[in-house]
Amino acid sequence: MESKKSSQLAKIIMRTGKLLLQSGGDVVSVKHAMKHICMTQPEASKPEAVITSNTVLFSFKVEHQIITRVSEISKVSNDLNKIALINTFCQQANSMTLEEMDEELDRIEQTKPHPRWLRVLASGICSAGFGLFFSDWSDALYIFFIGLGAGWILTSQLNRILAIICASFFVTICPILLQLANVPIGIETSVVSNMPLMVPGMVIFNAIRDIINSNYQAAVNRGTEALLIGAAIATGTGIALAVSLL
Amino acid sequence: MMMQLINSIGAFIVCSMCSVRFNGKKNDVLIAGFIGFMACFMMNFFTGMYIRAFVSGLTYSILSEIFSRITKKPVAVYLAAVLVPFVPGKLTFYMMGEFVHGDRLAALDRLSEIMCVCGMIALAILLTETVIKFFQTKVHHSLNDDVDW
Repeated sequence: MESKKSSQLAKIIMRTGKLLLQSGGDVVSVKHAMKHICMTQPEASKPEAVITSNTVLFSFKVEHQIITRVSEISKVSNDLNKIALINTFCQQANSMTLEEMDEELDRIEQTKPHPRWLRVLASGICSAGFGLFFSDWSDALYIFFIGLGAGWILTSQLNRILAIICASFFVTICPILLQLANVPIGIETSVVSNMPLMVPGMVIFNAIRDIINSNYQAAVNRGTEALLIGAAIATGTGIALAVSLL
Repeated sequence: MMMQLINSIGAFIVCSMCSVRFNGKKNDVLIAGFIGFMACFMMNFFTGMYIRAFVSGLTYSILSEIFSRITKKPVAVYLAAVLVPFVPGKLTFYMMGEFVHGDRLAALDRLSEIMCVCGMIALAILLTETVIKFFQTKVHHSLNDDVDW
């Protein structure tokens, strides 16, 4: 029978791993964080972690007992703030009791992301910035508004792939329709300036890191996800271009 | 030079807004913007798509590592946001246009360009991470040597 302290430690370790994985952390960071939390307690030893892109399996030894926990992650988002907070928590965990760790994890879980309107506005400004990046400042205003629309679609509750297909369709069809309405807008640069909103930056980054650290299973999972997202972007764009040819 | 500066300011805006979209906070947003600015600035000294991709990749991965050590935060906080503008979205659009117009050979040609650019970015990040890991291991071993004394 597990002691209460061991159960509490196992719960804290799993919460840390799950939070980090759900916020978009890569496999190696999650492993290190979980093992580090485990080793803050002198009675725990031999931590082992098996992490994939949506599964956490962790075991450690207390006295003569092996304690194992398994968990599945259903939803992964990109939350750089939570990743930074969990990193700080792991650095300070040595000087914390188990109750303090629990409270700190509660506090981290309850941190709210930026409000939706801010993320939509950031998408619009990001698209306008891309206009500058691709040297198309004359269309920056149109690109900004199209970016707002794409940001609104991407921050909705839709399934991620569907949202990306809809957003890429939207950003392709809008400049085409504007040009048909005799608005002086460059279709190519407008579409290209809004396209990177959908690019899965964290997924690609984590896939590369997983390859570097020889976690090929997780790398293949993430690489497949990145390719799927790329295909969704291409699908939405292709449908809009095909519709425009009708 | 003026064009280079305008492109770099565009990259600053893009990277900082991408950091906001990924829920980055305060200083992290500005740092991500600065890294994007520097990567775009350095990239514009070179011609050739693949060299530019490699140089920009090297610049932002090195700067991300430096800032992550200064601010004591994981490198993902900066690199994930800065990566976005340098991934080839433009080529993807051209590739889809060619597919829709029925020119499959040109589309496949474009796809191979995309894979090469992504490969150069991955190579730059891989190189930086490997060098950092090598020096970290060396420092770790030498510290242990001191303890053994």
